[in-house]
Amino acid sequence: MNHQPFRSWLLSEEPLPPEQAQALNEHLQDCEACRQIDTSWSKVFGLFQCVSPAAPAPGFTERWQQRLIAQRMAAQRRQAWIAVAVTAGTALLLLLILGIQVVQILRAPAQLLLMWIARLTSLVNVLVDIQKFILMVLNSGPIIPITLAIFFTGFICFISVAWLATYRQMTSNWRIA
Amino acid sequence: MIQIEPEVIQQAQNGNQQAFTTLVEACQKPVYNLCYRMLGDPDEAEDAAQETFLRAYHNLRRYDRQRSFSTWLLSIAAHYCIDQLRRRRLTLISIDADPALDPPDLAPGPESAFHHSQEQQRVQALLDTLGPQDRSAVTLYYWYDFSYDEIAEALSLTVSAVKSRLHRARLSMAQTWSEQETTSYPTERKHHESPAF
Ligand SMILES: [Zn+2]
Repeated sequence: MNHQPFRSWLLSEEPLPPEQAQALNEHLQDCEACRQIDTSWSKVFGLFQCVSPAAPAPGFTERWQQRLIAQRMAAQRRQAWIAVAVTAGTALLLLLILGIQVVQILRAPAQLLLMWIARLTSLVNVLVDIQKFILMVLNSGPIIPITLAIFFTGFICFISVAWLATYRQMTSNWRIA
Repeated sequence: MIQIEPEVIQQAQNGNQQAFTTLVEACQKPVYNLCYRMLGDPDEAEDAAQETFLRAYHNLRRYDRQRSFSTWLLSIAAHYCIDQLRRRRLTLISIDADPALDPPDLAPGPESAFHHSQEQQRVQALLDTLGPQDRSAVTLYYWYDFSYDEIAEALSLTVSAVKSRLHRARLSMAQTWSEQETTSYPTERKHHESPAF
């Protein structure tokens, strides 16, 4: 026997149109299985209505507050541990680098000394080269032609005088105002 | 349903600890009851209810005051319990292996308490046959008078999905009830008929 759509109507909590309600009633008279579902569901629904809601043990709010405090403390502890771990990690890394360097020095001290002497010598050589270049430039005569130098000096003097005159005019105007 | 002053929620959102404590006081019973119906164990329900309030406390700024506070809060509880039930399944601890539930002491007299606990156990046994989401839909529908829309909102489902889940759950519970009736009736009768020594 096909129980659809009667099962849907049977378990629907919305009011059925009259023709559907009548068809369902007719089906229920003939169908033992659907009748059993109907009776069982009514009993389940009745049971739902008679059980009272469960309540927590007294002091729920206090327990919650304690839990919140515990959670905060755990978070603080976690942060402190992270800070300690990061600091310790950095210190270990620095110690490792230092250790490697110390080991290198201890392994070959003469070689290290020679390397530093070589570096110092190359630095002195660079300085000597710079000195030579400056001397060469100074001895090679004037870079700018004499006429151009005179022209530039004159131009700069003119600009300076013009600027001074403007500045004086501006300040005296202020005084009148 | 839970009645909460909007001012209290606003104060709690602004970081007022006392206001949030008021919310915990006001909502602990409905939240606990939902967790109990979902998980079926008083200790687990207590833990889930506590966790719900912690999550609500940390996410309170995200709560939209246009929505219902109880829907929001019970939605957190339902999602947490659904996760717990899924985890339970993953760890292969069978729900059926734990039939002897220990409901909280709600009624005063010993006889009444026994009767009560039997009813509670029967309800719990029925709910235990349902999947996590169907169980939460049934709980919110029958014990919290949530509408289909509210359940859909709380469980992140569509309204039609809620309707079909509820229908499926009703049918499943009715069938379970029928099976229990047919299997437990002879033993129950035997208990009644046997003389008390
Ligand atoms: Zn039928």
